[in-house]
Amino acid sequence: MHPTWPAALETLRVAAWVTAISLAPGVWLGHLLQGRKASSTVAAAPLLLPPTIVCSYFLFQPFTLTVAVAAGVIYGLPFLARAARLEFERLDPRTLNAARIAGASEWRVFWRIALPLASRPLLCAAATVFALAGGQYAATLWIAQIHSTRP
Amino acid sequence: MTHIRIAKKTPSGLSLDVDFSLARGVTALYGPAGGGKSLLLESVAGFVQPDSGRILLDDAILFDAAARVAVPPRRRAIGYVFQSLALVPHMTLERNIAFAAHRWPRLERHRRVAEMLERFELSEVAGLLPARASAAQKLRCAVARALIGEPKLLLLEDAGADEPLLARIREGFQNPMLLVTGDLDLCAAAGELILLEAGRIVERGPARVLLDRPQSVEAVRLLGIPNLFEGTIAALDPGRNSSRLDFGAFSLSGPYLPGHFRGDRVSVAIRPDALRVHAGKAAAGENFVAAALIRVSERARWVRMEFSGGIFADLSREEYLRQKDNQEWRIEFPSESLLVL
Repeated sequence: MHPTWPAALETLRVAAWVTAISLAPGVWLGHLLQGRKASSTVAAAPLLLPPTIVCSYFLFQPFTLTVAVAAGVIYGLPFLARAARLEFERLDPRTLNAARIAGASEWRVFWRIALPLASRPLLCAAATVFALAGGQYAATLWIAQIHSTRP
Repeated sequence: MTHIRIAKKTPSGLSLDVDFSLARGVTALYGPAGGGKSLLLESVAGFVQPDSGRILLDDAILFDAAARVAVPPRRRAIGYVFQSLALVPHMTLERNIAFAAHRWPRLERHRRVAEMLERFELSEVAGLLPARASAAQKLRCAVARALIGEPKLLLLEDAGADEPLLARIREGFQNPMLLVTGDLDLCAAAGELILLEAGRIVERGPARVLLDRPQSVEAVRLLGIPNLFEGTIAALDPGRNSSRLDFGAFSLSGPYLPGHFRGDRVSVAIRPDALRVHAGKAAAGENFVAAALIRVSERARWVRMEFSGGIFADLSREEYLRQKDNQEWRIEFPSESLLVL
């Protein structure tokens, strides 16, 4: 096998874990943040941080898959939450209200109505997070330098 | 008792302020667009929080601003039919209805859904998604969804419900129903009528009475009665139960007006279908007013004639065809039909 193959597989594995871990909490966070501009801005703050700052925390950890995934999730989660919030706010409130007045709890409204209605754009956002996590170069480089696993 | 007293100001400048009781049967809500009808329904359903007031449904408090009580929509036992119907697009008609019945155990739910599908003639299209169903089927589905939870109050926005559908709802549903409509014929079919304009109740009462004898100028205008004249009381005779009303261009005699004085300014309205039209020379009598014909507009079942002096008369087609070649016109104002406001 070509020596770059294990590295590529590793990248994909990290990206998959990042996506899998951020998807559900990110979507739920987006649901909770609907109509709350200030909190959404706070939640999106990690997107503003340069990767080097974020990764400096991980410098003192041994470089493992877990650390790489955690670094990715810090970016993936707010991104998904933001995308999900915008998508949920776009839904017709009457459809959701119709479910509420029919006796559905907020969880049921979310799970049975809002989520299916927003599923496609949410999958799209998840794919972007996957790509983001896979292409996340700065974080890897930083951590990799310290742990001197350079090829 | 079901009583609604709420006040709510919206950012768009509408100030809703209503206070009324709901009786069993249909109460129609009629008024111009932007008059607060939807806001009222949304407040009762709990989608919108009123600024103040209290909502009682069957003696249960749904909302009380002073006591800071606001029952969430799902616990209000209210059925709601949206103007846009708001069916869930990724669920079939059957599943839309079943969604509102989930508090029952599985078998009971199936039975109730099947019953609703039967009652609203949806059995054959139960498996269709809303996008593939016809407008009438979707409306019936939305109504079935609103009714399956056995609500204590049914709120219907102006979604195009007609009289047969109302009758079908009433077959199995005896609780109060608040119906928004822009259709006066549908108002006549309702028991009670509330006229709502700019967030305020202009007038309310039994639908038939209100439609026949509105009590205020605003109500007359809202109900689309075009014959509205400003005049003064020229004479009052309680002995002969009569009055004389002067409008400048013409004068009319009406019934005695208790509580009024000679010289009072009054507004007088009369429904266009209550006016009688006569050929000029032949006829003369009490409350006959000579007028010139300005315009004739054909309607589906009648003909509206506009005369000088702002007089509008609605005639049946036969009556119109019989009279259309008149050279001169006299309009009779039957004194018992005069609405002195």
